[in-house]
Amino acid sequence: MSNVSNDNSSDLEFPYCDDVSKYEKIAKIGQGTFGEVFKAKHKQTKKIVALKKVLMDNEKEGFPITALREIKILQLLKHENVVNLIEICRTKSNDPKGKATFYLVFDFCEHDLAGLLSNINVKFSLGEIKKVMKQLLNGLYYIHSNKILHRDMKAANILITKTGVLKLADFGLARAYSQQNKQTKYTNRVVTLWYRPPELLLGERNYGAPVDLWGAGCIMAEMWTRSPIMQGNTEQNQLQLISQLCGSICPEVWPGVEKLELYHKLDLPKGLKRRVKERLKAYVKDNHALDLLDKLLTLDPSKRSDADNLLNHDFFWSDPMPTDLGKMLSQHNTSMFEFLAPRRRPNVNPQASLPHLGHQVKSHDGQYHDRVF
Amino acid sequence: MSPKEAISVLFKSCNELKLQRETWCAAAVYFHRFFEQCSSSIAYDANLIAATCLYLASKVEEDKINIRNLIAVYYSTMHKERGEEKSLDSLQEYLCLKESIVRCELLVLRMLQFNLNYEKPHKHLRFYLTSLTAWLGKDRQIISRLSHNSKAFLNDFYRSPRCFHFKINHIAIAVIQFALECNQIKVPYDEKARVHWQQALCEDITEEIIETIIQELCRVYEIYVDLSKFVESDAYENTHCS
Repeated sequence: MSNVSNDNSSDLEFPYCDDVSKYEKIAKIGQGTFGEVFKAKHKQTKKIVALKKVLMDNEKEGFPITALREIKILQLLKHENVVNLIEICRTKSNDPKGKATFYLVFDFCEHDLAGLLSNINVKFSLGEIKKVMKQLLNGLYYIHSNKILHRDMKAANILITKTGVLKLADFGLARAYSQQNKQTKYTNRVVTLWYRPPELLLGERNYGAPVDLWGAGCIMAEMWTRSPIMQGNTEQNQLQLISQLCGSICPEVWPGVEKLELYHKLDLPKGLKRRVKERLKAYVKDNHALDLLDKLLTLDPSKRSDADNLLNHDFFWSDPMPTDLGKMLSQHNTSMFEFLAPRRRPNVNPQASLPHLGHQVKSHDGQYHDRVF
Repeated sequence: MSPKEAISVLFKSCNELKLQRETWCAAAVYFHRFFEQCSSSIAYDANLIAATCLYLASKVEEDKINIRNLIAVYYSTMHKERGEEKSLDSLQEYLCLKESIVRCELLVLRMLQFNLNYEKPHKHLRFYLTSLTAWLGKDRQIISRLSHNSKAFLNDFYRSPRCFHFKINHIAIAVIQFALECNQIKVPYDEKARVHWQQALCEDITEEIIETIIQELCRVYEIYVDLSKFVESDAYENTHCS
């Protein structure tokens, strides 16, 4: 093994990986722990794309394994309801160390669901909500049947094109999982806190597809409440909010929960009744919708329905039937992204306004992200 | 060192690092694809490329290894291959090699166009073997030899620079056939069967394909059969059994 020479590395040609300068950046549309996202235009074809910068966080270990996972997964997943990776580009390396920056190039989507929901002028009819949920579950069904977990479901990661096609995005936390291997230990430090399911909060390391369906339930409720339904400040607080909505977490409703690492360590509220339908009735008038929400927001992950089953739910097969979003969206001709929208105010719904419980960590304004690998 | 020798070091390092067979396989495929893709006018250091491919494969296959460990093992294996006893003691040299691998990784990724998904034939092989052994009767010894040999052949096949040109299910069938032939095992009633076991397990396979893969495998053994080194290779036990 010898050292790779880096003299003149900026002159090197990489015929198999195009220079990102073939795209012209138009605007920054996202920023988070994952890095920056830009809207850009192909200089020749004029095609609009989204460029996501690969964050070389731990350069010493080489190309980040999280980015490799995302690329590998995106190359595998090709579906109408999953964001499409076009290619990977790089910059001409002009930094003295001679290292290039890489960008993932995606088909551009005009909106994200968090952005749409934060705009009061955007109104979803029941049929349109059904269409959103149907596409969301279709996407989840597809990725789960390919043995991929998304692990970061939240409204900001659900993109919607101007013609109303929903795309699951941001596979930065996603990974492959297996059903056979019962010994697998994944990190439970995934999923933005407000969308994190009870099993992860209690320290489960061998989880599966139900973690994404909990998130889908939170997102579905948000279609009516217009802001995240359980905005906890800490993991403990999040579990309290969950208990107030879904009833106390106990072995009677969730056999085996007592074996989870944190079950005995955390102070869980006791004797609370399940009030999912009751509490959401104030926002959601449709009975089928309430029933579907009840099935998604099930405490015991083994009893939470899977995407396939839920797609057969009466909600999707009763009047009004799912309606295309294209027409409604055509009234709005500016892009709506959470990043560009004014911050959504917490505590705008009764469930989030809980009596304060002693010392609490300050809310991270929805950007709460754990990335420990 | 030539690519041929580097792949030898690569496999021995995999063994030393106790990596999963799927990781060996992915590393070898990246390595061969790299050299097929690059223009022959540029002389890349095959060992640097091999070590980098191994590092990359360990990440992609979630079979993670410490880069320090990888470098130390690859270094000593490489020197052993050249008949020297040498271990990596200098910190300076280690840091230098690490920097090379990290840099080279970006080159390899670009050369491979970030196409890192390669489905491995191991689960096909396991499935075919299970189906076939049901036919072969109760002789445990025969069955275990067959399974052992075909797994070893499969592994060795990935030394061939053409390995990724074949369909993985075809490779799995061909190595089983070769193992059957080497052990002179006949699949009962197969001569009279309208559909031979190969087609029964894998619809689109033909005799020509099997023959090509076996020839490719034999070429691997012609190249690597240097009897002094042979003892360490997987193939040793195979010829020993036949």
